[in-house]
Amino acid sequence: MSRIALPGVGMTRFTSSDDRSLVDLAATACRRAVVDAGIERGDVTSLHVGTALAEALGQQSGLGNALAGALGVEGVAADRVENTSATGATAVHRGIEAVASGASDVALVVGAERMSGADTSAVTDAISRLTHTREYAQGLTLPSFGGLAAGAYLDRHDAPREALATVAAKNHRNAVANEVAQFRREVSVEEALDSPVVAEPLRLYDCCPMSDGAAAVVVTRSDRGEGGDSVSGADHAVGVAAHASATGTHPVAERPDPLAIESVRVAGERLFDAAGVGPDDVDVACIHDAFTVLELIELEELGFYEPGTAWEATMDGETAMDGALPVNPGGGLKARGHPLGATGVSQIVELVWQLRGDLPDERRVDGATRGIAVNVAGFGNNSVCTMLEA
Amino acid sequence: MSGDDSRSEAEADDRGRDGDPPADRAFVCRECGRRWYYTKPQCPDCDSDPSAHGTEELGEGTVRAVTRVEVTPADVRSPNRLALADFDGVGLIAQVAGDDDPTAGDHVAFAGSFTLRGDGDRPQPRLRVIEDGE
Repeated sequence: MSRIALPGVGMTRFTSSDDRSLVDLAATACRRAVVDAGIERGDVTSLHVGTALAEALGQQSGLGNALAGALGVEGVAADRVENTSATGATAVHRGIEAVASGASDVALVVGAERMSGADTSAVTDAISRLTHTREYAQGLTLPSFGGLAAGAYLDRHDAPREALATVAAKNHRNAVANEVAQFRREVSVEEALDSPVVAEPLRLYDCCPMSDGAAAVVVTRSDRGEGGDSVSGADHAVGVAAHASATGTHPVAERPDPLAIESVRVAGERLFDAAGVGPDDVDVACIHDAFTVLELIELEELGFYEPGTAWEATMDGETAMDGALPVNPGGGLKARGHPLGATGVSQIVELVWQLRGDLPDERRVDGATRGIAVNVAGFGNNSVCTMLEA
Repeated sequence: MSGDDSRSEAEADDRGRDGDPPADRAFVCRECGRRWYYTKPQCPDCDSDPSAHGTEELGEGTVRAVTRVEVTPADVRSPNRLALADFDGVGLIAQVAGDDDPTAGDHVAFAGSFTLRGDGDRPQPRLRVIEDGE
């Protein structure tokens, strides 16, 4: 049976500062994905490029066209995708849809961001501009929303702050063995608890960093090639079981419940419905942990845990590498890093590596055959979910 | 709480750069009565256009969540105490005035005159905790 396959992936190591230009970062990830897929650049028929901040930070505009030139694939269809911090996953979805529709035979998807290319205040302002103007006027930043949600979560569910710190410690531990992670250093629960306040009760180690990096994936059909021009191995490659997304309210305070991220719940329901499986059938998950509390809320919205119980499951080790549901085995946004436009693609790269099983023992979720990724724009403005199967 | 029958000239002049009214006012649709806080080009219920939208004072609200933001942009005070509050079904997030340190369940109202972000020097009120019976 024909299906959408991901025969090749590649990414740069995420770092706090990469000297390469945005185009160079994207091109490097693309070349790695093309080599991993065992194809030639001339096989690519469409290019789907995600970046969130390029123009806001005074970097390359028209990145899709600039990248086509840099890669020497002029003539392909190319477009640029922007969906704030879910830019990467949305670009992957556009690549999947281009192939599924028959518009493209081999789609090359890349997400890239270079957040060190401007001073921190400019980056923070560019990100804060995704809020409503009346939110912006109050000085709201993304960590502000995280602090409000984290306080409400701990209060409502009578959970200790250690629950948040446990998420941070777990994801940092997972990143130690990940060669492409920004932070390959363990952080203890105590260190996380004692780190400086960013937005009470969130501390520094509850928050993802700013990052540079790029990630890419090749998308094609598993049965392409009956005419002799197949992507070698595509029929055995990791496949796309389903993809779905949903928008939520733009202003966070318009939600009936400050702990509800309806866009994640709706996108998750659509994903599971489309795939015909449920949360119990998932072996590994990449969750958008821009703030530790988001990992807990999103796991609940997706149906992996009942409301108010993900924190206990996390403290019991259920989401650790050797737990029932390993979450963010590559370190998540928290420790792998969060170059906005690249993050959603890097989640797909991580899942492909996990489902192929070609990672070192200490990095591998044993026997994983199905995984999901959730990439969230803003503080739940838009949630983009993808399910992959070995 | 006072409702406006129409958008007066003075009220229109009180809109900020993005058409936002002062922080202590919600929108109200004169066609269907729907109230909301975050500026929109149409009523979320009946789709009426802005010519049908007045504003009204929010009055007293109830705090649902709070945070104290220590890492703030250069043009925002630090720390920035914020509350997510509900005003009779209208939700909003706003700065908390002075040294007030509200918790969930506290009652709040807008008061005072301060300069918020990105809106020139237009003075705006902040949330202040009010005691029962105040």
